[in-house]
Amino acid sequence: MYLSKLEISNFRQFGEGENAFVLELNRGITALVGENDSGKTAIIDAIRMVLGTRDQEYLRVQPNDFHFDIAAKAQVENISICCTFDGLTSADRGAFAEYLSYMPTGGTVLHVTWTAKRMHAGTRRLIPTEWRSGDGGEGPVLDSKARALLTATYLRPLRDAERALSAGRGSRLAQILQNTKEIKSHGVAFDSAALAGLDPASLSLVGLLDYTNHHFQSNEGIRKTRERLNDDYLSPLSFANDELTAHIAVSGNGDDDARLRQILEKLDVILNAPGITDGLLGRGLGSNNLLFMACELLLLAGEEEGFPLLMIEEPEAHLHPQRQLRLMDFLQSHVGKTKADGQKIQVIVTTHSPNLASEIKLDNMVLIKDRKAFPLAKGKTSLTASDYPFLERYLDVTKANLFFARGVVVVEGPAEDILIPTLAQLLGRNLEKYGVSIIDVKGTGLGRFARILQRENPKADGEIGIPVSCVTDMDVMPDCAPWIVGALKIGEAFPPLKGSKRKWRAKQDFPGTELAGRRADIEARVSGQKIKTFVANEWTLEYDLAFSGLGEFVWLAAHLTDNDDTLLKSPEKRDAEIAFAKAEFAALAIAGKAIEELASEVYARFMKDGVSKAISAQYLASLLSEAVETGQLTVAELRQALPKYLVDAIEHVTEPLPVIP
Amino acid sequence: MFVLPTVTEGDVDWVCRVMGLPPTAFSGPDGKDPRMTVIQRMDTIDVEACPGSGKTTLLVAKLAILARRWPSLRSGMCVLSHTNAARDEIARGLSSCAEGAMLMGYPHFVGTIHGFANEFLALPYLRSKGNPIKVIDSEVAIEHRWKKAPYKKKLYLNQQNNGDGRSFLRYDEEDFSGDKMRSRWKPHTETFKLIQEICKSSSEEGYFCYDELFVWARKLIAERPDLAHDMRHRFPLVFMDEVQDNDEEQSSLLSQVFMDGDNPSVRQRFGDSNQAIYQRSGVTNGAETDRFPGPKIVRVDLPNSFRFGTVIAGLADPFAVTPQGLVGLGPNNPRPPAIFLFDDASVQSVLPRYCKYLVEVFSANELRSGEFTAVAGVHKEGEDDKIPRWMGHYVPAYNPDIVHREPAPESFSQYVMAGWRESDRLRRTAPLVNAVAHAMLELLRLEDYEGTSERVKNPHQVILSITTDEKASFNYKRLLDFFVRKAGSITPELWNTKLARAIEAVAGKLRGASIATPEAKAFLSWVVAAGKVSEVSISASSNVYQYPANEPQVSVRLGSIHSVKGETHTSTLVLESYYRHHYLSTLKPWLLGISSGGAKQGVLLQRGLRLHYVAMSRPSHLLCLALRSDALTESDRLVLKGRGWVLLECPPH
Repeated sequence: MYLSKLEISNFRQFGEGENAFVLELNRGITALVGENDSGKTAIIDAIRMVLGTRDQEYLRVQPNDFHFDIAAKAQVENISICCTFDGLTSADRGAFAEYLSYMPTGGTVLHVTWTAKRMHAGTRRLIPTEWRSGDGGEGPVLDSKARALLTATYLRPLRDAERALSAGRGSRLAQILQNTKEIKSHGVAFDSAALAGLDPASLSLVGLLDYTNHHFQSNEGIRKTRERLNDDYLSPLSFANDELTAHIAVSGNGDDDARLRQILEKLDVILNAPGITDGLLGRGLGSNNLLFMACELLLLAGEEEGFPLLMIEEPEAHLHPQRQLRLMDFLQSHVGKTKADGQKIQVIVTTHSPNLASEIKLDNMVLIKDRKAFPLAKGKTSLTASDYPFLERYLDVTKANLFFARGVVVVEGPAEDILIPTLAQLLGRNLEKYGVSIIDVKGTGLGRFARILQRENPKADGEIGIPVSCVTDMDVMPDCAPWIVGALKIGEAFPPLKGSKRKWRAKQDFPGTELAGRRADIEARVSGQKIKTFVANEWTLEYDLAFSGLGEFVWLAAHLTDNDDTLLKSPEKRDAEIAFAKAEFAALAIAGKAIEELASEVYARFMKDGVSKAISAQYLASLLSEAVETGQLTVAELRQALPKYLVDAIEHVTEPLPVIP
Repeated sequence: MFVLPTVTEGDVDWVCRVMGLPPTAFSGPDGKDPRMTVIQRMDTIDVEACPGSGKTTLLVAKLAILARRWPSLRSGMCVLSHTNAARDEIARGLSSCAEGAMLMGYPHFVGTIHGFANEFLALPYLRSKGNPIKVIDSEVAIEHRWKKAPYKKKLYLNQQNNGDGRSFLRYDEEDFSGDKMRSRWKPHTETFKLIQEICKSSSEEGYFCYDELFVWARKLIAERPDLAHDMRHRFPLVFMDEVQDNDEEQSSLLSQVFMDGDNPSVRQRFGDSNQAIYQRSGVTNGAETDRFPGPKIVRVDLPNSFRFGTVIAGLADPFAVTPQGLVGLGPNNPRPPAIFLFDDASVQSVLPRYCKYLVEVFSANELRSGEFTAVAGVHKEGEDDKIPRWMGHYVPAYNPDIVHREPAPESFSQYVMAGWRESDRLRRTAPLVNAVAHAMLELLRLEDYEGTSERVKNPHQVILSITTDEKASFNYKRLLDFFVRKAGSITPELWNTKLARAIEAVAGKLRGASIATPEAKAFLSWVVAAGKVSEVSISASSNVYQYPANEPQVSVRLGSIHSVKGETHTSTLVLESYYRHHYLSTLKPWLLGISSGGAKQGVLLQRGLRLHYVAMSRPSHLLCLALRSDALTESDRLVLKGRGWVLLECPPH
C-alpha cells in the first residue's frame, strides 16, 4: 500500500477549488523540490495531520492553519485534507475492509479525508477534527485504531540525531531491537542452580540480565551498601510488622517482557569514529544523522503491521554534498525492496539541494511551484521517453539549479553562459535578483532541458510559472562570409548545397521565405507555455554582437584572448594591447564597408583563427562593464548595440525593459 | 506471520476471576467439563449447546481471554449473532473487563450478521458506486416506494394482495425484482417493470429494506474474487452464535466469505440444532449450505444445563430431534410437573387453574420475584374449527400483534419512553440520549432534513453537527438533560402543555426554521404508549395475565414459543395448539416415554418436536402442559403419573 494521492484544501497557503493542492505520488520515493515558501513543509505537515507520526509528536491544528482567502479577506471555515492509498495488499484490504472504495476499473483504494472546523474567536477549545473514509468523506469515520495503522515516520529538518538515538524510555533503538525477532528467540533463561559450567554466551538477554544481577548481588560493594542501607537506615524507619528492605539491581522490575524492555531502553547506539570499533569515540552531527536515518529504515523494514511511509524533510541537513549523493542513492535503492509482509517502503523527501536533486530520478521528482505540484514523471512533462535517460545522465548539480529557479536561461555554450548574466546586469536586470539560473547544456540537448519545465497537459495540470529562455544560434552566415571566415578558399566558387557535404549554411541557401522558415522551425522546437526560444538574429553570438554594434568590443576581446598567456604573466601590458587592437579595428572598419563583411571579419577571429570563445566572453564581459562604469558607454547605447534576441531573452526571464522614448 | 493465540489453564483461571465465576466454572468439579475443551480449542469446531448450558458466558469468557492475548493490530475476531439482543448480551458480558471491552472496537467486529454484511460488504459497495445511503429500514423504504406508485396502481396492487400492495415493493435480486413480484407477474409486464423501476429509483435515492443489503453484499462478493481472501486476513477467527437460526442466504454468504476454498478462517459455531425454530415467513427450512452441525467438522457437545434439574431435563430430553442426553445441573428443588386437562367447555379455565397451581406450589416471595409464562406453538388466530388452535382460545383477550419485537416508536414521546425504560434497566444514560436524538432526527426528517441513516450510529453527534449555532446545541443539550433527570416522571399533561412546545422550539432552532408540517406536529403529540395493567385480568397491551383478577398474586406472561426463545422462566406452561394437527396430542408417544428423538421423522413432526423442546426447556423449577382431556386414555394417564406428572382437570368456565 502506498500514498498515491494527496489533496489539500484550505490548509495554510493552499486554497480550495482551483487553488487546492493536488499531488499524485509514486510508489517508492517522491522528492518534493522547490524554492523556499513554495509549500513543501505545508505538504509534509498536511500528511502529518492526517496520518500522525510515530515519534508521537502530536501536530495540533493551529488557528492560522486555516487558509486566509485573500479575495474574501477572511479565514476559511473548514480544512480538508484527503489521502488516497493505492496498491493495497490483501492484508491491507482486510484491515480496512469497512472503509474501502471499490473503483469501476477493478482497483481498490482507501480514501482518508481529514477535516477541521474553525472555532470562532473567544472560544478556547480544541479545534474539532474528523477522519472519514470513502470518496469525498462519504464513508464511515475511521476508528482511531485503524488510523494508528497509517502512522508515518517523520524526520524533521533540523533533527537532533544524537538525542533521538540515546537511551531512555521509548527510545527508537529499543523499538528497533524489540522488532528484531532474534532478540527474544535467541538464548536461554538464567538458572542460578545451574551456575557451574554455565556459558554466559548461551543466555538470552533477560538471562544475561539475571546472570549479571546474580553476580551483582555478591559484589562486595553492592552487598555492603545494601546492608548499610537496610540495617542503619531503613530498619530504624520501619514499623515492627512491616520491615522496609532495599534491593539493588539492574532492571529488576516486572515480568520478562517488561524487564526486556527496560534493558533495551538502556542501550545506546554510537557511530564509531574512524579507527574505533568499540564505540569509545563517536562522530559528529552529520554522520549521526546518517545513523539516525539508517535506524529508522531498519525499524520500518522490520515492522510487520502498519504502513511503511518515511517522510524526511531536507535529508541534506548536516551532510556534505558527497554524503548527500550516497544517501539519496541508498534511499532510492532501498525503496525497491519488498518486505516480508509484501509491503514496500515509501519515502517522501523535501529538498532544496541541487546536489540531492541531481541524484534523484526525474520520474520521482515533483516540482513545487506557487503552491502547485508538478510531477516530472513520464507523461506529465513534454519530455519524450528518450529524454529521460539522457537527462539522468547529464543532469548534474549545476543543471539541477533549474528546479529551484524563478526563471531559467538555457544556453548552448560557455560564451552565453558567461556573457548573458553580465549583459543582464548592465541592463539593470540582475539575474540573481530575479532568481534566474543559467544552464549551459554544452552544445547538446538544449530543448530537453527546457522541456523539463513544460507540461504535457497544461490544461488539466496547469503550467509551471517558470519562464525559460532558450538561447540558440541561427547558424546561417551571410553570403560574403564563407571566404572571410575560411569556409571557402579565396577564389573558390560557392558550392551548391545539393551533392556537397558542407555543414555550414549561408543565406543564399535559403531563397525567398526559407530563411524565415528556418527561424520559425528552430523557435518551434521548444516553445509554448512559459518556454520560449530566442534565435540569433543573424548567425551566431559573436557575429551578432559585432553585427549589431559591438564589433570593436568583440575584436578587442578576441585580441586580448589571443594574447591571454602574455597578459597573465604581464597584466600591465593590457592597455597597450587594447590600444593596438583598437587601431587594428579602426583600420578594418573603413567607411563604406558592408556591416556583414566587417562582422564576418570579427567573427573570423574565432572561426578561422581559433580564438577561444569562452575566454573572449570573459574579456568582453569585463570590457563592457568597464565601458559602462566609466561612462564610455551608456546603458541606452549598450542596449541599442545589443542583438535584439539577447535582450528579448533577458526580458523574458526577468521583466520588460523600459520602453525607449 | 499471524498465529492465533493459545489459551492456557492460567488464562481460564484469570477469566473466572475477572468474571466473578467459581474457579471450576469451565473445567467442572471433576475437570471433565467439555466447556474447557471449547474454551481451549483453536480450530474450526461446532458446539452443540443445550438449553441453559451457559453458552453466552462461555463465549464471553473465551473472547475475553483471546482479546487479552490478541497479537495483531489489524486482524481481529468476528463475532456474529442473530439479533441485536444477542449481540448486546455478549457486549454486556465483555464490558465487564477492560480486555473484553477492547473487543468492541477495531480491528474486531461484534454484531449481527446483517450488521456485518452491511458494514463490510453492502455499504462499501454502494458507497463506491456513488449510491447514497439514507435509510436502512424496511418500513421507511417501503413507504418511500409506495408514494412513488400512481394512485390507480396502488389500488391494483392492494387488490392483488388482500389490501397489502406494499409487500410487492421489495427486491431480492440485483435487477430489483423480488420473489413476490416474480410469483405474481411475468417480467415483461407493465406492472412488473413499474415495480422494478420504483424499487430501483428508491434504492438509488438511498432507501433500503434490511434484507436488500444482502443483494449488494452478494454483488460485491461476485465482483471481487479476492474479497474472501481479504476478509480472512482481517478475520482469521470467526465466532457464530445461535447458528441454528441461520437461513440459507446468511449461511451461504458467510460460507463464501470465510470458509469456501483455500485458507479458510478458523470458525467456531455455537448453536443448538434441536432449537432451530426461528424461520422467516415463507422459509420453512434452515440453511442448506454449511449445515449446523457440519458433518465433517469437529463437534463438541455441551449437554449440561444449569437452568433446570434432572426432572425437567428428563422430561424435555426426548423432545430433542437429536437428544443429547440432557444433564440437569440446575436448581434441585423442582415442583411437581403438571398436566392440565380440558375440553371445549373448560378451555378458558386452563390459565386460572395454572395460576391456582402456581399459588399452591410457590411461596409468596417466589411468586413475586419469579418469571411465570404460558406459551403456545400457535398464537395467531385461524378458523375456529379445532379447539384449541391458538392462544386466543385460552385467553380471548390475547393480542398476538404485540408479541413481536417492540414496535418502532411512532411519536417523539414513545421514543423517549422506550429509551427511558432501557436506560432505567441498564442504569446508563446512553439509550435515552440515543432515543431522544433519534426522535429529534425523525422529527427533522419529517420536515426536510436529509441525513443518511448510516451516520446514525451516533445520532447525538449527528444532531450536534447539524447546527453551528451554539445556542441551538445548548438548548438541545438542556432538553436532553431534562429527559435524563425527569423522564420517569413525565405525565401526558406535562408533555402536552410544555414539553411538546419545548421540543418544537429546540427543533426549530436546530433547523433554522420553524416546525410546520402536520406530520411533524402529530409526531410531537403525546401518544399513549403501552399502558399500565388495568383492572381486567389480561391487559390487551401487554399480554400479561394476572391472578386473581382483583388482588393479583401472580402475573403470567403469555406468548408464542418463538417469542420466549433463549429465555429462562421459573415456570412454563406449554399449551396445546393446532397446526395441521394438535401438536401435543401428536407428540404423545414422546410424553409417554415411548418415543425419543426424531431424526427419522417427517418435516412437520420435527418442527413440532423442536418447537416443544424449546418450550419445555425454558423453566428452571416447574414445567406444565395443557392437553385436551380426550387425547389421553386411562392407560396413558397411568403412564404419565408414573413419569411424575400431576394430572389436573380444569372445571368448565
